[in-house]
Amino acid sequence: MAKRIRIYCDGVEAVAALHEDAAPVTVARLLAALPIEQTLRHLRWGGDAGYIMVSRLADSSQPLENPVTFYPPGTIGFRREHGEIAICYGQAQARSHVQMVGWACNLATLETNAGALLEKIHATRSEGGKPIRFVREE
Amino acid sequence: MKKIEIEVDGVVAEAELLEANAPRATAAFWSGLPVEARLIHSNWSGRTCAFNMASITSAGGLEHPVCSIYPGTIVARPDRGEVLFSYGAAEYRSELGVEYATRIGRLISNQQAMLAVLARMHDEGDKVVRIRRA
Repeated sequence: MAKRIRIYCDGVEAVAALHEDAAPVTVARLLAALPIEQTLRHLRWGGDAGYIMVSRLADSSQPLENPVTFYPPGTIGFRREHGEIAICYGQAQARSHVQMVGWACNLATLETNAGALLEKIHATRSEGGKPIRFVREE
Repeated sequence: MKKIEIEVDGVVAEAELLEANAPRATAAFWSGLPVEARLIHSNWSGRTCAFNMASITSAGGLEHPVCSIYPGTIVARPDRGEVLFSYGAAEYRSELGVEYATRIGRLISNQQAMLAVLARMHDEGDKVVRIRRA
């Protein structure tokens, strides 16, 4: 059975399944870092997604597992070089000011209440940052 | 040299229009003033904020097109009716990749205060921009 995380954002809760089989190192590092509580902001270079930076997870030497450049809506991507966790609600790609095509680990997929959470993510573009919390789902 | 006043969140800065660089786009921009619009943070182009301006569409195609948008620079994308201000590292992009825009102006006074208020939009969300002839 897949390990899961629960995400709280501005009054909304959702659960995501972690892709442990495809990304065992990345998932283990994320789980060890939980809980994570930060301000979620909208991507500036990568399109329709919100993100947080977790500096203690930044490690370019970590293997790139389950790699994607485009984030399908409802997926959670992780960029090892920045410790960036991005939740995508529309059309998005792993980009930066120096990279048109970057790579991220497809870390997890939302399973429950995805629509409500993605509305909150979308709202960060017009409303600014929102508090977000990631915890292990028991 | 035509000049404009830009007001965002109580901060007022002056900019000059780059008429020699973009005569059609600056004329179209000037004809649309004064303007009040919702300013939103870009999601593909980096540290830039954008608003829609119908009058800019009359400029037609691009003039001396650029990709990079330096801090304090104002660019327009006439076919999309879009005007952007940069406050940091920025490049005109879309979901398709790097694209081009026309440079139409640059801040000449109170630049740091204006760039700071634009930067805050990443945390604070949309703001209203008012632009008038100076």
